[in-house]
Amino acid sequence: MALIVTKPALNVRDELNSLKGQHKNAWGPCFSARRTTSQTISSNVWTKAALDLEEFDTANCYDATTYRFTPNVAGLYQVNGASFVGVNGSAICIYKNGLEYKTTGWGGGQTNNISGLVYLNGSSDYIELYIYGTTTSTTVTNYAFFFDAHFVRGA
Amino acid sequence: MTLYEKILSLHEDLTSDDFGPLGTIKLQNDSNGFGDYIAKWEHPTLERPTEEQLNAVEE
Repeated sequence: MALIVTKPALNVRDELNSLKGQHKNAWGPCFSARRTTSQTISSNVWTKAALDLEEFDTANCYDATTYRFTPNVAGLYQVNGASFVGVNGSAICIYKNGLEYKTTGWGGGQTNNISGLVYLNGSSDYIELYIYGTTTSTTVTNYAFFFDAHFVRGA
Repeated sequence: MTLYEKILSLHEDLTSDDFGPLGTIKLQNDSNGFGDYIAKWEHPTLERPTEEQLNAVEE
């Protein structure tokens, strides 16, 4: 005897749209900011990266006047930053809620990159990027100078 | 004269290492127009300079 199995008709388009919707709901804020001109910093002073040009900011969570990212969804965020200070002896740091959180650099490098995961509570937590150089009035060039972050997963 | 230079003139023994990522002193500028300030002073022997001392340093 032959076994006949019937499947319900699958509307592929509906399924795809449903998945897209789920993914879209799973996405959180992301942004990328850079600088329109170079930034001058004082020697041996941790200075907030004044990144005033938003390349994108999907949920309006980056403030280009305070240079602060305050996402409105709680979770883990992949955060990246880079700076080219142009002097030996420089560093870069992610600040969370106004305090040093993750730092790289120092020593002989002129270019610094930082990348790390940061938990943000989706309401009051914020992050900023700070840079450091050992030479007076160091000019940070606007190329290789950026700050971005994206939502990875909920808490 | 920068804040860093003023502090160095008051405490000649300090070097840039004292202000770096592993140092005990942190100077900071929040890019808000208020300039440089001392955010942390945890030096084991030297006292944090007062505003009066810093202002008295000749430009």
